[in-house]
Amino acid sequence: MKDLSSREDEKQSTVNQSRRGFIAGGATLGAALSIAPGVILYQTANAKAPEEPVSDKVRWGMLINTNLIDEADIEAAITACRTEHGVQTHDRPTTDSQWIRMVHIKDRDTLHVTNLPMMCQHCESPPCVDVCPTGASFKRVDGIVLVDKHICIGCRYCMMACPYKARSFVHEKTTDQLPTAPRGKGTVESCTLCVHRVDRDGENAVPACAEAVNKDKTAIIFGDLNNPESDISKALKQFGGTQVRADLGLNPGIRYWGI
Amino acid sequence: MLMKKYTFRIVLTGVALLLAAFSWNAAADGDDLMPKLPSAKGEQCVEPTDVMRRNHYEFILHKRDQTMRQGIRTSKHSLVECISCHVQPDENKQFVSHESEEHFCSSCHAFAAVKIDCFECHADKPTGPADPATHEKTSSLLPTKIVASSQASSVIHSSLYNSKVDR
Repeated sequence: MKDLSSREDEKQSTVNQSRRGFIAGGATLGAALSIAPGVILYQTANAKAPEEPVSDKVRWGMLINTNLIDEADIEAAITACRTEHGVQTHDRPTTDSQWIRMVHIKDRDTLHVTNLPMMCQHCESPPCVDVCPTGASFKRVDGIVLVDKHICIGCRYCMMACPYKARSFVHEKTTDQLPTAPRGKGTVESCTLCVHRVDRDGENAVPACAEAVNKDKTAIIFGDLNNPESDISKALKQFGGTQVRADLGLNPGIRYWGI
Repeated sequence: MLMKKYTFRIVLTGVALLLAAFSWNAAADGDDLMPKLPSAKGEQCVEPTDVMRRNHYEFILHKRDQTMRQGIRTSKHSLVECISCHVQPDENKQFVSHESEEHFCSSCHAFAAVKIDCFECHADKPTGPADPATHEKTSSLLPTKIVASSQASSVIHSSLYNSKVDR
C-alpha cells in the first residue's frame, strides 16, 4: 500500500515537475521575448543602420557652455574641425573657409569677457534654405542643415542670408580632400555638425569641436533635442539655454550657456 | 591608249595595297585602341562588368541623392567604396591623382572624352597610407595657421569659472 502510494506520488511529482518546468520556462521565454525587442530597439535607436534613412523623430543639437571654454579651447576646436574635414588655409583670413570661428564679446558695463565658438546654428527655420535658388542648401529631416554641393552653383545668397555668417565660399581649388568631407571650389560650405560621425554613431556621436574641447571637462554636449532623456535635453531643462539672436525666431539647434 | 587599258588594274592594285597597309597597321596596334584600366583590389566588382560599364553613373547619381538627403550610407554603391577598391597604389607606392590618365576613372574617361567633375569635390584616393609599411600619409591636412575672426587682448582662463556658476 505504502509502495503503491509512494510510487503514485513519485509519478505525480515527476509529471508535475515536468509540467511546471515547461510552464515556467514558457513564461520566462514569453517575458523575455516581450521585453527583448524593447531593450534591443532602445539600443539601436541611438545609432541608425546604414541602409536606414534619417528620421524626424530626432533633432540633433549642441549645448555649448562658454563658462568652461577659453580661447585655447576654441582654437583647438577650430583646428580639430579643420583636420576632420581637410580644410586647408591659404594664409588669407578674409577668404579662407571658416566652418567655426571664435567670437569675442566684452560686456561694456560689467567688463565681462566671453569667448564663444560660432558655427552653423542648424536653425529650425533656416534663412539659408529659404533663399537658396537651387535647393542645394537644405535642412535634413533630423535637423542638420547641409549644402548639397552637387547642386550648389556658388551664388552665395545663403552667405548673405545667414545672420550668423556661418557659410563660407571656397575660392581655391581643393586638393587632398577627405572621403568623409567632399569640398570643392565654387561651392559654399559650412559646419555639418560632423554628419558623417552622427550617421555612424547616433546619440553617442561627438563632433570634432566637442571632442577637442571636452578633453578634461564637459563643455560641449551633443545630443537629441527631441529625446527628453538625453543629456542635452536634461541640461537644457534644468538650466535653460540661450540662443544667439533669439529675436530672429529661427530656433537654432545650438544653444549656449554663459552668454 | 596604254593608260586606258591598264587604268583599272593599276587602281585596283593601289586600293588593295592601301587596304593591306591599314589592316596590317590595325592588327599591330589593336591592343592600343582600348583604354588600359589599372587592376582593382578583390575578386570582382559589386555589379557585373557590363552592367557597370553602361550604368555606373546611374548608380552614382542615384546614390548621392540618397546619401545627401536621407543619410543612407550603404557601402554597395558608395563612391568611397568604389575608390577604395579601384584606386590602388602604383609601383612607387603612391596613389595616382585623377588628373593623370593612370587613375582608374580617368583612364576610361580620357579615352571616351567625357569630362567628369566628381573629383573637384570628392577624394580621388582612399585615405590611409599608400605604403602600409612606411605608414606615411600621402597628404598633410594640418593647417599652418589658425584663423580667428576676433583677437582678444587678454586671455581669461576657465579656472575662474566652474559649472555651478551658470544659472
